[in-house]
Amino acid sequence: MTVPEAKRQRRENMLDVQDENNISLQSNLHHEFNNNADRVLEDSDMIDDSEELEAPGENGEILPLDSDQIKTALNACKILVIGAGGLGCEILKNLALTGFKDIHVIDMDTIDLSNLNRQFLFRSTDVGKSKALVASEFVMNRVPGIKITPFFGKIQDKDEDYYSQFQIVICGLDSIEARRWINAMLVNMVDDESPESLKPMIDGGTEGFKGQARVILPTITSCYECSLDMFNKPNSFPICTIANTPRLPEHCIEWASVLEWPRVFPDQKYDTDNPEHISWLYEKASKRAQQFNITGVTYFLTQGVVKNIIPAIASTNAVIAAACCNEAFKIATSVAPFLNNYMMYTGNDGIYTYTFEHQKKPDCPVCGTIAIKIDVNPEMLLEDFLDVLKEKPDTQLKKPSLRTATKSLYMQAPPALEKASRPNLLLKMGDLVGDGDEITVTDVALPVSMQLKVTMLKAQ
Amino acid sequence: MIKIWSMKAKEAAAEKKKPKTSAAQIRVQKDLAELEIPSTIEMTFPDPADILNFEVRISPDDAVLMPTHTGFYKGGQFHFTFNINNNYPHEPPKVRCTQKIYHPNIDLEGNICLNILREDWKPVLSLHSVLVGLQYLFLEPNADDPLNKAAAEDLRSNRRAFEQNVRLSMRGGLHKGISYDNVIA
Amino acid sequence: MLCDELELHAVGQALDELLVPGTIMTAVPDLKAQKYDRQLRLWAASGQAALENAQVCLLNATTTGTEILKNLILPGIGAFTIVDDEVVSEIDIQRNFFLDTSCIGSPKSKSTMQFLQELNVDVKANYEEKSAGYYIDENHAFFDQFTMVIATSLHEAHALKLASICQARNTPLFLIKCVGFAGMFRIQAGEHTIIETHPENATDLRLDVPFPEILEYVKSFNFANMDSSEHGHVPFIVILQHFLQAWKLSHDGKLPESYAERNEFKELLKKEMRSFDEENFEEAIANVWRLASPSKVPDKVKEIFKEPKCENITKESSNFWIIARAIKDFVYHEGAGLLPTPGKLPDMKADTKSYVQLQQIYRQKALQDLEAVKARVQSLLTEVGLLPDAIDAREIEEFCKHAQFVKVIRYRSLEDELIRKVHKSEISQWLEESDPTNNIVHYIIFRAADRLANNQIQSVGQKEEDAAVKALEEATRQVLSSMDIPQDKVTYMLDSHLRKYVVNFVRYNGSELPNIASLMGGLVAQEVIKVITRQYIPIDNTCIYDGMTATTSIYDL
Repeated sequence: MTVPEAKRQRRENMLDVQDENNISLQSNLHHEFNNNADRVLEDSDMIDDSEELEAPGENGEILPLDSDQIKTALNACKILVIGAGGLGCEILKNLALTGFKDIHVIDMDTIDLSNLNRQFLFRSTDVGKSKALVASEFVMNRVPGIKITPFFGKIQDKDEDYYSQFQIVICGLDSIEARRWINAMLVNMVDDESPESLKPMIDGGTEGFKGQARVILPTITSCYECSLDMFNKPNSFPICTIANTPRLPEHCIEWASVLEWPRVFPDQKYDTDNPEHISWLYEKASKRAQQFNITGVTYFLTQGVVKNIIPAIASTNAVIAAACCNEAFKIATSVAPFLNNYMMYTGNDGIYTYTFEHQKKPDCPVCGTIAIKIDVNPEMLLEDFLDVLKEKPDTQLKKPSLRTATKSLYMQAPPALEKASRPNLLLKMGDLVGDGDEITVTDVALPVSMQLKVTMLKAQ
Repeated sequence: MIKIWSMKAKEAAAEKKKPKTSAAQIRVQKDLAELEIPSTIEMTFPDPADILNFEVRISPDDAVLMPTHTGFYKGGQFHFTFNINNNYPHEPPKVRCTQKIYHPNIDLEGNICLNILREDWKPVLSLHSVLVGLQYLFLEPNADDPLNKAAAEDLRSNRRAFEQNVRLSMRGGLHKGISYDNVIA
Repeated sequence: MLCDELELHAVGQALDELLVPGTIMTAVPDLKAQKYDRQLRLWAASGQAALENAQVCLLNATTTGTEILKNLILPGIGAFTIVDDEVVSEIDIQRNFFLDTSCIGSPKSKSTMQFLQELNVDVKANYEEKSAGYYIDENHAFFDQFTMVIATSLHEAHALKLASICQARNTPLFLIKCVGFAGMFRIQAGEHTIIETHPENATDLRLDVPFPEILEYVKSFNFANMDSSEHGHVPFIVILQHFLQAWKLSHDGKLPESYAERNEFKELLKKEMRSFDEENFEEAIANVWRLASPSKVPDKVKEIFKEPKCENITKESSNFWIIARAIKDFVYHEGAGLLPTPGKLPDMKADTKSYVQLQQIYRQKALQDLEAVKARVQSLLTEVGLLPDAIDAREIEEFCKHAQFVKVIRYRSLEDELIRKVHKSEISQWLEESDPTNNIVHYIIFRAADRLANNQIQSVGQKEEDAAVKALEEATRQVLSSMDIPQDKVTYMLDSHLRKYVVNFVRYNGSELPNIASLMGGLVAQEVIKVITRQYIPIDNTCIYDGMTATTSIYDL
């Protein structure tokens, strides 16, 4: 069973199929960017409000690199590094050598043997230890006069207060989910009345000989979420192919991992770091491949498919991490104009970089949302609060649905949620939300959503 | 290692956290609040505060839906669980059928062969597309790209027999040694 | 329980064995394979073996130099030697990660070697406390031991000498400069041949010239008698061949040749679909465009065939040229004008049996072609007096698989670039291009700076800066004039846009920025790896990076 249009597009991407009169995906993308150009201009006046973001002199001449101005700027900049892996190790080294003095680093991972071909701050005796801790200690021992504060944990463990202490955030992450989270956090933190609430985010990513570095000025330039469509999700095969018409060794491996494992071990998820589990999957996949006359199932491939392994090498990480740190250096010191706003790098056929301005997406669910501060009378009923929203002339909401991060205040649909949340209409706002809470409002009239930051008025 | 873990715990405890609405949650809220689905699809939320995990019941018996269809599965109520993670809509929702049913595109473990749930998912699709696609499976089971091969072969070779098997299985009957769940409403 | 399902596993299998597809065996990769897992997915065991045999020499332990080595030591080159006669200073500590305060006053070569060696115990490390100039001027035999020479911050005169030393030894040479926001590197590697270029889309289905076995196989499909499931699982190649045969019958034996005809053929296929979204037919329709480009030997490969090295095979010919010649002969005989079939089938909507059978047919044909090429290689070897098995069968197989995409790069020598055959008109033209990603100006400035002594372009105060700018500007003028650019134009160029580059270069104060050095270290290491492994395509021949604009440009200088 298929939804045909979705299928057609996937196949065209997969098979390198093109029509002679088709324009390429790439040019479509750029076309789309250009259409959004005016949107960015509207918002770009914020750059002038913020001293350190101002572009340097028009004549293109720089400050002498050993000038005190540069040193002072670097001393004053507290920078957060997210990820202490392939990019993170490079980033920490570069920032330390560049002269940043107060660096923080977050990573939830521990060191694995397969990290050692590129994560050069780790040795085989470090396997199993926290990346953030080992990396910090190593760099501090090597480079005198700097302080690196590690956090062994998840970025989600930290809140707005924590992130607001930094001037710049630089990310070397391997997960889209984590990037989306920090991006949303930083966009959300922007307060139009306080320029320092805007934290430039520099994001790097690599895959084999390819990579990208980009600068995100939350709410001003295109954010990570704006570009989500550009990233491929991991390859997955139709489940009926896996079940009944396998052709590739990968199909046999997915059969073992997606269908066979849960059937045999319904209560246990396999652990991709457990060699016994991978071996089990490899055995099953091999047998299935034999049965169907398919060649090419190896342990190596099994591991690659099951763990969705992305090739990673020291050289690409060095290029992308350095590109990111160079932008951090330029932003922190204003020594030269910084990247606006995206650099793509390809190194398998020669060396090729492409820099361009990725455009904001008007209906981006993160930076396209309207953020409003709102005073709420705790005595007001939710029902009346809804009416207030509907009467707001600038939004013209029709059927608003309201939620906080943990609660459905009132949902217009589906019926079950409407019914479950209906009693809330007659409750007082003071009983439903608290001071500082954020209410997400969605409505057919809104391209995405509206975020209401609640200031609770004193009860009268 | 002990030292590290205690440090982690200490740091984490020191954080005062206010939960944030994730981009995925915003998107799901929008998907749900603007959902227009026929009465044949019913959603239930075990925890109305949690909109990322819910159940769906499809009763493909509304003659208004597609009057021309034979309605093999008329009279049944089919249960699914939806689990959406914080990578939505980059990743599709995870959907499973919680009953053991006889269907060419749903296997006995509850796996579903619907292209937009896997290989053809993309962020512009929504929960609406998934629900409609899921319902369509019961109106137009596809025998050519099966997940339950035996059921598909029955459908291809003998529609009448297939229909009887469906009826039998829906009542919780035993067919070819497999005992199915009773799904009659 | 899970453990009952498991059999015992042999640990410590050779890497090679694990990477052979199709073998079924139970083995968890050994520690080395685990450590290098993420890179083996790019260059496989053959690339890794090449790296492990490499002996790399670094001249001058600059930040850029040690960053390059870091990115070569981590993936596991065989050995490296650092040549540097300086002692470690305070400034070095601040800029170079592979030094710390304990190194101050020690030989830089030794200290950086020690810190770099820690990165990978499998790599052998050496150092020489003498200057690069000593070996370049007085001890050429020193370079015999290396498979690769990397030199940072060499002056033009020494670079030229070193280039001719390396040229004489057939040793690839990398020359790197990195100052402030600007970085530049140059490859001189004589003739560089690549079999595994790793193209992104390498499909060669021979749709317009199907071999008889395919046509025979297509006949076994009776479209009319199929049920909907069978019909929906015929591989698109079979669909295309089936309906192309019918088309040919009504078109004088010709394929759909024009755009209009191909559209007509697509319509015909559309009519054959049993449902509006029959996936295999959609694939067939989507692949009709391939008929627009008939199967043939690509022009670039034809050029390789025409080279004298391909014509005149001798005892000294490299494996690449002997196999190339064998394939050339194959094309004119067994191949009937076409290269050996690669034998690779992409995935397509199909049932397992048809797909595997079709795959078998392509593989058989590839095997047949390979055997023919092997026979030709053997007779060539015998003709020139070598043993018939002097070339590894796997190498011949790789060449046959990738024949469409093999590549020969002939690097210009540094002597040609700087003295004998200067690309004057090209360079003046690049200088006039207004493309913001055009970085040729840095080449001019780097060369200008080489005309001055180091202390001439250092700025301590405003007065010194003005003098330094003036000196560098004058040197820039000389370099531009040497490109035969008229004086008035040179003046105009300097006044209009080159001056800021001169000023900035002076303000860089001759120092490396750690980020730019690290970035150059990544770029250079990547290209070194490509040259060593003979996989992927290295640049030809100069890459210039500008950290202000975050752009790279490539020039053939």
